[in-house]
Amino acid sequence: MSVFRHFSRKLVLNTFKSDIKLQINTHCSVCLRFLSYQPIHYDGKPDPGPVFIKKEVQTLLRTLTRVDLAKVFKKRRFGETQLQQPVYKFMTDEQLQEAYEEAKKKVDTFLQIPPVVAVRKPKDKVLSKDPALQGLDTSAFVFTDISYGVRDSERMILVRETDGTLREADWETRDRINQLYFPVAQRQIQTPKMFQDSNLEDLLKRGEYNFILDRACLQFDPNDPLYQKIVSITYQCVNDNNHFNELRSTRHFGSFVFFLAWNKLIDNLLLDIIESEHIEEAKALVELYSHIHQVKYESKENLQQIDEYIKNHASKKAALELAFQAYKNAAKRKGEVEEGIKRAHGLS
Amino acid sequence: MLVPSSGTGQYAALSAKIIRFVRHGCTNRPFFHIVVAERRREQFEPVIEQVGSYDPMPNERNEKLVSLNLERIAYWLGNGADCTKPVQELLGLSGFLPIHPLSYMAAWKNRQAAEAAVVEEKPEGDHK
Amino acid sequence: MASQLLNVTRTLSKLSLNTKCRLGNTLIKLEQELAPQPLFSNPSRNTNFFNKLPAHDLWKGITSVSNAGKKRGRGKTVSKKNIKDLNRGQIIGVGKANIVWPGLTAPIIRGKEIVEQQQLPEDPERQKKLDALRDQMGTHRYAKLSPIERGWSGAKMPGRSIGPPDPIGEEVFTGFDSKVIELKTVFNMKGNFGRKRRVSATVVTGNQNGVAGFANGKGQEPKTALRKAKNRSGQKLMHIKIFRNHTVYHDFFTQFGATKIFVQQKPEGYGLVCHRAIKTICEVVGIKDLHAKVEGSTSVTHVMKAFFLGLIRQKSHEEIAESKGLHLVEFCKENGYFPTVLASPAKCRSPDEIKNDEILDFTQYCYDGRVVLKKKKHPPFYTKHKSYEIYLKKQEKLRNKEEVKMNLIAQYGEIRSFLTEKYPECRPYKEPKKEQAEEDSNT
Repeated sequence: MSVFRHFSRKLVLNTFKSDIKLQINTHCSVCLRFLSYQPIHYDGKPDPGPVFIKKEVQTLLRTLTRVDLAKVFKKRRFGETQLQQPVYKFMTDEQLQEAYEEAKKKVDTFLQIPPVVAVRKPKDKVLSKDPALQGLDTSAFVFTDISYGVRDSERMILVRETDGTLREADWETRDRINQLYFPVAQRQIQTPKMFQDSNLEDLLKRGEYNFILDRACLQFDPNDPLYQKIVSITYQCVNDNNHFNELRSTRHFGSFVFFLAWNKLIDNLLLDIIESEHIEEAKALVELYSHIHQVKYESKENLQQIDEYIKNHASKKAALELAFQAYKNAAKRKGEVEEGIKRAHGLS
Repeated sequence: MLVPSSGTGQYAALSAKIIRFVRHGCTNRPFFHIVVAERRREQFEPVIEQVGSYDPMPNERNEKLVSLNLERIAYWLGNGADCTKPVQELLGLSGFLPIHPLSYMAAWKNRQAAEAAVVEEKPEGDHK
Repeated sequence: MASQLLNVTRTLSKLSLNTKCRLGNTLIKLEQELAPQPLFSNPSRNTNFFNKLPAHDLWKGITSVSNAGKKRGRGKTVSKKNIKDLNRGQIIGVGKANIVWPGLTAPIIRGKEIVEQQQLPEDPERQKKLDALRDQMGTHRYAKLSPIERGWSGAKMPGRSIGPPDPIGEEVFTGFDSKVIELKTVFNMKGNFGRKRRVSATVVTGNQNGVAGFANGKGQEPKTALRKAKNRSGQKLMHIKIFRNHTVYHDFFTQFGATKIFVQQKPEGYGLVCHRAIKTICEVVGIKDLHAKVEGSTSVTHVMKAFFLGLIRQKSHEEIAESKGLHLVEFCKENGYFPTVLASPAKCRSPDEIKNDEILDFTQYCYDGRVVLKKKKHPPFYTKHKSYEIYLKKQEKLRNKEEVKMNLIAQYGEIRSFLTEKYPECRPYKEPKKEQAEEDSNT
């Protein structure tokens, strides 16, 4: 088994670089640097939103996230310098069970997957042109409607240019103005320096994926091209380095898997899942692939579906087949051993 | 202890209301609140309600920022509140009201002055 | 005759003071010419205080106080530390004039020659040396301690560390440190001596990891008392439970005599917020975070004893859960209030078995139903002043100043804005460095 694993891993390592570059760097002629990833946007052809929000897709993503309570409820500081004194309670069995149930409900909020949507379209609607206002002022006026109860995305923000045109503000101005008048806590008006290419590269090298993704979620809207750029680069980095465990049991794993499936990059993850013998997840992943790309498998059994995917759609067939075969053999032997034990105990 | 600059919401029912600027900010750095106040009140007395703000100093991107609570402005205008001319001009530029004639006049004057300056410069250049 | 005349002239001159004294001048001249001669001599005294007593008595008068005087509180500044012994460093026969006196400062015969009296050139260093010696005397300085070594109050012993107890045979107290809690003089009446003075010391020792002890020792000198107390405390060690290696297991109430202490468990990084004696004990025991409130008497030994009693009586979580028959669960904000079971009983009680009047609040259970006295905090007096209102109004404009400053520094590396390019004079004044300023002033 271990020999198989090692061999398959070797195969992947040999194949993966050339493959990835073929897929991703279609525009880029020479890519020698380690972190030279091309950002991949959801360009809205087709729109990923409706697929992502489907109930089946959501449950599949949740299955793939592999919830580990210890990791979900790990110690975090919520911006406080001083730790809080814990509360101690006496509890009966029932109360304790209730408390656990309550905590499990919280998992949903902790693991809410950041939405996957297409990149927003530019705003350039002109409302009126009034050349007679030319020369009124040397600077433009930005008018914001601050009426109560209006969403940030729907707020009316207009610009009166110096030449007298009144037009809708572009997205960059909208973000700035919204943050100015209706600040989101911890969000900055200017893009934080960590998202500059050189700093981001450094962070990725250090493997601070969660930090990048958390901060990106906080700083940007999900339809922001800059958000999608940063997130896609991070996802590619995680995928190439097989650092899946960093993202597991966090809210980002769902959108990460969706990204991989959308861009047909799931082979590394599938290999990782098969090797760690989470066959349910492997099945879910293959099913997710079928949902997104409208692929229909002939067989209905789990293992055969995976087999089918590997044969027809995988780009790293050899490695996956090896790993899958190894898994099957191991499972078979395990069954035999269990049966033997049962027989030895005289149960069957 | 301090009266909130966003307004107290207290006013006499029959008094005349006006939407106007209140100058906040400090020396050499003006900043205006657009407020609804009773006409007879002084500038820095407690106001009824703040309905916007205006920063007359252009920012880094050469923009002057104006915020307007259009819902409340519409309410107060409907209740017979007046506007001062500068506020009317701003509301005009924002497209909420028709553009105020003063804005057109100011624009025209500025254009004339600019043209005059160009004409003045040219003959000097010719002499040289 | 002459003196009579003098008297007459004096009275005259007094009289003529009002009439601008034209006569006076001539008469005063007369007085000078006459040269007064005493008619009867005043008895003069050849002895006084300074030549009646010998030198050593005079010195004694200045440098000491009689026993009776001391009792009345006289001469408080007089002590041996303040006295300058001017004889120190002086030798008979050696003086300012550098003269060799055979038989006194030099041998009479050196080799085969007789040494003669002679004057050598003056030694300029001699006086300087004497002065330096005298400057040293009479200026008493307290021992300067580094801030880490200081106790509760400067160089006084309480609160100071005095090292581990002395080894007993081959048993060495590794990792131990002792701290002084109290050092005081005590008196005892003896049948034949009367008041007998001794020094009493109280010391805690511990290894900063849950083993500690305290003891009292008495001796004639502070040093011996401290040593005795330290070594005795090393033989009275006890085990103390420390929760997660930084704080007490649970809140508790403890009492010794009139001293009552409410101790609270605190999260990491809180520090020791308590009476200084409790703080010192915690440092020795190895507790890093805790809050304690002392009610009643704050006698140091009582505080110490009460605190140690409380520490020893702490229950582990298993014991609490077992005695209560319920799970003990921790809810931590940092964990997203996920229930962490600290201890479970062998058999958990059902809700029916819990009595109505049973204490179920953990803090109340720990305090045994007691409540900490929390005094109401009144707003400070100045909040009622008109000036405070004005101050608040002024502060209103500055409320975001620090944040804006930080943001500017983060963005531009200094306090400036995009307008500084247009108005370069608008930047905060920086005081030039000292060297630069000097250079500027020179040029």
